Amino acid sequence: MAHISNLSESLEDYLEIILQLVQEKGVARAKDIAQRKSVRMASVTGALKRLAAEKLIDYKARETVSLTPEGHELANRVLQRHEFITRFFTEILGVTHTTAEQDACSVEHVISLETLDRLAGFVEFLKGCPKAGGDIVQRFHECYTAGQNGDGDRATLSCRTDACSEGFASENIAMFSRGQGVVTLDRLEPGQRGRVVSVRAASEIRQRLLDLGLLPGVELIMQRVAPLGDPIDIKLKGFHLSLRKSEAATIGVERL
Amino acid sequence: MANIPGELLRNREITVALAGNPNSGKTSIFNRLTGGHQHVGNYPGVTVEKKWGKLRGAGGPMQLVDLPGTYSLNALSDEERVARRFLLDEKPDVVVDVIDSSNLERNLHLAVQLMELDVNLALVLNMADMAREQGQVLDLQRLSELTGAPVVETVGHKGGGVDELKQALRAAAAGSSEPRRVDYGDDLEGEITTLAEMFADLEGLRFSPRYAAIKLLEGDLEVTAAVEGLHADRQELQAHLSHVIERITRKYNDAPAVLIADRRYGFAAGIAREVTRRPPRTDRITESEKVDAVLTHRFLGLPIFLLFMYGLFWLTFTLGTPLMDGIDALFGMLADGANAGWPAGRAEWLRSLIVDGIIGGVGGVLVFLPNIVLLFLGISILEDTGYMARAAFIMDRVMHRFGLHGKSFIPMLIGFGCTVPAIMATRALPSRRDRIVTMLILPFISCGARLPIYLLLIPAFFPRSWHTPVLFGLYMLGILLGLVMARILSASMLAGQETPFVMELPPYRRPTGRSVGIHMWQRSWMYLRKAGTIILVISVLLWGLMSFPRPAEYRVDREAAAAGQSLSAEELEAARAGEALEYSIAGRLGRALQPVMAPLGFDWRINTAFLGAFAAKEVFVAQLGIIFSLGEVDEHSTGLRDELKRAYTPLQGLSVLIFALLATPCMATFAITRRESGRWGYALLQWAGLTGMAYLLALAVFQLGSLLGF
Repeated sequence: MAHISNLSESLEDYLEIILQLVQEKGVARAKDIAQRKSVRMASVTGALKRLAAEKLIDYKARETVSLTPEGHELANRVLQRHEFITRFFTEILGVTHTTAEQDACSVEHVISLETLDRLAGFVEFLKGCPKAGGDIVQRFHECYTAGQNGDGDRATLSCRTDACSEGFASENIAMFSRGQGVVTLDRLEPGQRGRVVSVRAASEIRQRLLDLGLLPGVELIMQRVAPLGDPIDIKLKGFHLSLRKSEAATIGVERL
Repeated sequence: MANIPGELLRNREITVALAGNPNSGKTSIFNRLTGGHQHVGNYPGVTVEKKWGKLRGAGGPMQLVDLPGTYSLNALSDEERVARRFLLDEKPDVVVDVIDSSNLERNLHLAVQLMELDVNLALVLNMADMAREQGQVLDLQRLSELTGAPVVETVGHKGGGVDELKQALRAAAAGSSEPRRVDYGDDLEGEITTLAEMFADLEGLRFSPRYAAIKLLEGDLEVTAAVEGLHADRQELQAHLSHVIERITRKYNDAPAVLIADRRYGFAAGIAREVTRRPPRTDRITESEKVDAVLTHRFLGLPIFLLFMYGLFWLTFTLGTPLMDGIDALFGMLADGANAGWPAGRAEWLRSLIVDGIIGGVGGVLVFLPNIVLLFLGISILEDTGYMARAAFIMDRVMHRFGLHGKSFIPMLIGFGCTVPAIMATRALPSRRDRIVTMLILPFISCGARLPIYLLLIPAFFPRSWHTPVLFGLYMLGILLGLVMARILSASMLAGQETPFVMELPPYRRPTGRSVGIHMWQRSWMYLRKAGTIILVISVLLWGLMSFPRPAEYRVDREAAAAGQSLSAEELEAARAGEALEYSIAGRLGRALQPVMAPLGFDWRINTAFLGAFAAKEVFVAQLGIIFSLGEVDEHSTGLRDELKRAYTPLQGLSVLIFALLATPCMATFAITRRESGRWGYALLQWAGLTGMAYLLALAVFQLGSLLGF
């Protein structure tokens, strides 16, 4: 059974939390990690030392934690996997958000790459179908309700015939089915192409980016980095946009 | 949509609002339509520029208003708020959306938002030639059907299609056909309908119930406040809304705002797809990208940038100096003329008011006009070509480190010329916080008027080999202190959410003489108008302080009589002027300030000269000349330098230089800071902060220097 990493599930959780903190606040502190994971500082320090030994993070006592390129890559994969599973549970299966989050936390550590791949393929299959004039997921939910009313067989059948949907983001799927890494936009090398898979910026910046057409699914090219190394210049849809690396770090892209 | 019979409309003046993305060529369309006949002002309460103009000819009389360029109408920035408020409150007869044809999808996103506002929309596909060159073919007929708006193709800077546009405007005013509506999906549409029904009979709603419903779901603050103000049961509405938002967020794992934006963008993308017969070749490297490969190159970018900046200053000062001398001479002639024509001995104070107060004061400011016009010419060219966006791109790293924005660089650049237009240029900054911080630190940049002070004092106190390092050091000290202050301000009293640096890098364009000219003129005019109003008033005031009260008799006359000496008329005149100034309110103030200023190494003469520097920095030099009884002087006067060298030590000189660099931003700076920030508080803070810092620094230098035995 192949897994994403050979880390223990707890360490994967730590990586995930560090990445979330970096994306939300810009830095990750041991104190914040402890708070988010609801554990004592001592446990956090231990875990951070182990991650540092694996060369996944840079960490010295009483300083902020930063991810190494390898750690970043891995954390991204862990986070994407978590989100993919959560979204599959909520959007396709219609599970409530809280339950989906809890289940995803358990499932993500034990699910095999093979199953995950199939799951992604299944979603892609739903998405790839020609339009059947309705929201398939909605229908699935409807027939699921019908099934509960004691008419189970027919409900299942009707769901199979109209297996078409759109609206489920393609990003996570592509990542798993093609086995390519998702990185944050600031990590693309000049000249590299990518497709936006997620925009996690704070709401106002997010709205700004959205207004400019930086939406999930959009293809872009990393054009260049400014001479002094900070803002970057990206090209999308035929125009050029510059943004700081800190803003680009909130945008997940799949390398093309 | 009001449908007014065509006959009635033909002669009625209609109002046309011009909307569009930044860099869509909106301004050049506006310039084309109105010709030179345009007015510039501000939208009430904000420093967003408002431009309007009238046009006649084909299509009848029209009033054209240029809205600020925006990417959307989400009311996130001042520009967006202003644009939307204008559309809702003024209800223009037609709204023209200027669309950059080569960027259809993103530009249509704004068009879709305009459609949702139920305005009479007309679409202008600008830069049609560029898009065609890229191989793009569009179905304009289809675009018109989908948006319910007439569509006109134009080539903005060449003026193609403008007459056709005027005709279309008149037609659009009569009412557009029903546009296609954004479909937000069954779930959201259901909620929108429910909410819209709740608002169906609200009195005084400025927008359609559907629009209100959508905006409420998006969490739009302005619309929410407006609807809540009108709704009978506010709490019920809030409860309903938060319930809906929570349900949607739970179900889709995304806020309704994001889902709505996604759908809307998708809708715009859909229209773009449907009308594009052949897409442009976007993968080809454009001319503009070839230019950028050099101008923003990893290693070449910075040197080229510095070269451009050097060129800008060279242009300003080399070409400006002869013109400046010309204006100076002109005012000199004017003053001489007034002096000569004045009936001798009659109403002497009035002559002095006109010659010294008005002509001298206003002339002192107008003398910088050539510099300012040239600097604005250069900046307008850099802006119109699109290079300014690259300058911000290159400089953002440095600016950001000090809590500023990449675009703060542009006002700082202008600040070397004159602080007044520099403060006006802060309008280009995206957030109020950035605007205020930049504005407050601009006086740290040594403006052109401080140069004469440096040029007078440095040679008086320092050996030749020190001249350049001291001058350079003063400029650098100002820049450094300014950046440090920016860092402190943005981390303390102006701390707030950091503005993102998300900026389009528009393609390079060949600037047209017309648009550069209009740009340059509008900025210079603002400067000129200031010279004519506030500066005039304060000049007269300062003249009063320096002229009254007058001594009844002069010491020099008595002494001369007693000693039996005969001084030349000129020497006598100069000596009397010095005495009169000493006797005046300004002179007395200078003496009164002595206990405070003595620790800095200043005496009453320097204090009085600095009082004059509040009017305009370079007045300092003229004031010293009067005090030292040398008559007319300028920064090249060796006589004054010799006097200064005798009267003060080099340490005192350095202390004066530092004080001159920082203290009391001039009155024009004070006035413009008050106007652009909208608060007296900021202008006072700037004034007091700079003066306080000047005091402390000069104090430290003089006291430490004295201790060390200099």
